[in-house]
Amino acid sequence: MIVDVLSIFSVVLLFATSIFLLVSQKWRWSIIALSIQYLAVFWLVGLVWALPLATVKLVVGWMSAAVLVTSDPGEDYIDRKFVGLPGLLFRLLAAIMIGMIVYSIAPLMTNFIDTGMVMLWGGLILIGMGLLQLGMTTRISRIFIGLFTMLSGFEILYAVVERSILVTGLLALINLGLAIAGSYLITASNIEEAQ
Amino acid sequence: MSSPFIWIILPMVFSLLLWFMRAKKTWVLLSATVFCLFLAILAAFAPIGSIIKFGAWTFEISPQLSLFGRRFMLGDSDRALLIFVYAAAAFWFFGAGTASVSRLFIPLAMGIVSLAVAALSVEPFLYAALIAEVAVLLSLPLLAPPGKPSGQGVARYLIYQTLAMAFILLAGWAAGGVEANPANQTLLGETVILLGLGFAFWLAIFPFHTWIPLLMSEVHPYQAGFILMIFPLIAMLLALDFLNAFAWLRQYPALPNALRLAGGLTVAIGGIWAAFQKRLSRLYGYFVISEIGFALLTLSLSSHVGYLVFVSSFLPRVLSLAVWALAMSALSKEMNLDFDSLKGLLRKKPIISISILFSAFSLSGLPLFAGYPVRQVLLENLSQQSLLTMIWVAVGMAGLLIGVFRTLLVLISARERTWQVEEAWQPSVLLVIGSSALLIIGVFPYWFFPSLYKLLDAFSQLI
Repeated sequence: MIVDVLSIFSVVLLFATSIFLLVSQKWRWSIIALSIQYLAVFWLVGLVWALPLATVKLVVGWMSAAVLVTSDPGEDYIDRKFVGLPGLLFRLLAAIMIGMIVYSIAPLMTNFIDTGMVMLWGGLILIGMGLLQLGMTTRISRIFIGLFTMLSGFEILYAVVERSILVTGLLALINLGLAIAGSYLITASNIEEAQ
Repeated sequence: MSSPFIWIILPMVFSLLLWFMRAKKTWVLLSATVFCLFLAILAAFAPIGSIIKFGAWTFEISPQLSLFGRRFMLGDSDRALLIFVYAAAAFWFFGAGTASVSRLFIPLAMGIVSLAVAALSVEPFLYAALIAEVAVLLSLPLLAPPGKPSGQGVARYLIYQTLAMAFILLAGWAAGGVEANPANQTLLGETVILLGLGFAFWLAIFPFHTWIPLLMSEVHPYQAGFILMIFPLIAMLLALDFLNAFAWLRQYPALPNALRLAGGLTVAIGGIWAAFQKRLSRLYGYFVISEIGFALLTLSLSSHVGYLVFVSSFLPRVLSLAVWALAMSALSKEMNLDFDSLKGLLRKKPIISISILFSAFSLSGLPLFAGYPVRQVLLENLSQQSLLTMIWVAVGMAGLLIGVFRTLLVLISARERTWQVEEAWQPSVLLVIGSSALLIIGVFPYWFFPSLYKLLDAFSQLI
């Protein structure tokens, strides 16, 4: 019973953090939200994987967040496309629509991936919110936040169907690589190296 | 010693070594070229999986390497593939010497090539998607060199390649389900859709092609050219691998039509946009998109001839893209690549101008150039299958030709009537060799293409 409640709470937490990532204008706060998001991802993956293996997701997620936080995009993180209250409302409305779409297609998805609804809700919400983030911005720092969100959603769904240690390792490597690449691209213009 | 150790691990270690030595640019360039040539020659002469006698020594190169319970397989049938990949890498690395590339180029490109071979050899091959993604991440410093802000093209490239990985991984899992239960038509359809989306993102098939011209206008032309050569090449070979491995996929009735539709649209879109370009680097991008479309069309033939044309087209494509990219790199040192800046270039830099035109002629499929023999066989076979696709292809080819002839017009339209040739000799030598090769391959295709047919040895079910 408590596991079910915590699982539902994880899905709510995923939705809340992904909405925060969508509307936040502060880099540090966004990274904290991303770290909390990884906690919820860990809980959901832990429902289908052994705890030590699921912990890899959490540790790698937090390491990625730690790598990202070392680079400060500064003004680049501030979204100038959807500003003010109308911008905030527009993004919230888009997020609610993603939530509704996920709620309606999740039962259909059980035909393809045979698992519980919380896994599908969690995975699909993150994929949807990640894609929304990617579609609404041209800022490289926000693009990486979107990529991490989308990839986390994919990893929740993929955890249901694939439990190979090598895949887990390679996905961890990709997450870390993405964090390093993100950190590099955010700060690339400030790095000096002769041709 | 195993073949994956020689052709994957050693180049990877070598790329690390080159990373530490990157300050010595000439040394890095020459050693990388020689090393890749050595690997290509070794693949040509050393049989894999049989005893080799070398004087008093006897040894065997085993075809398999196990890592964390998974296998990397490079058998005797993969030797043609290894020769091609490492010879192409050597060719690009040698050209880099005159292209003023970033000092990160050679070490990272070497790493990418070794990961490409790893992706092609890993079993089960769903891991290829993960390895390819690692290669994509490794390529990012090439596309956003230190000191320059990263642009939209790089961001879209990363997003689409990451999406491709996710779709291919899911498709790989679903394919396992189809193998276990071939009668499940719903799962079969879903698997094909996932695979299709994965390859559409990977190969930048319409409508996911927009990052290519963006990338070309943002990044050093030679570095971007290398990325646009190697990643589609890996994806195309992996597509062959999927077709080779899954009989249900080869026999899926809607597959040829879907490939034809995607290929025809991609060729048409690439061609139409090429006709309107005013920047040489973006024009290159649209030619790359069209080439991907033509590759899909050859696969859509679903016949032995189609597969032969598919592998034969690798040589003219790699060569044309390399020559064009090198010519643009030589130009970009001194001038903008906009058409306005290139007016009358033929009178100042005839070798660079002619090289660009020869590459574009070859990629457009004009007779006497390297791209013509494969294009002619493709169109001949395609016309027997779908007239509608032929119309799309004709539109695309017309667009490509308009793009080429507009370029020609720009290059010859001089404000002054005098010739003032001022070309550096190093790129000129390479460009003359490359352009001549484009002509020689076009005139004598049967000297070259039969050796490319051996690439199909790695895909026994397609022969």
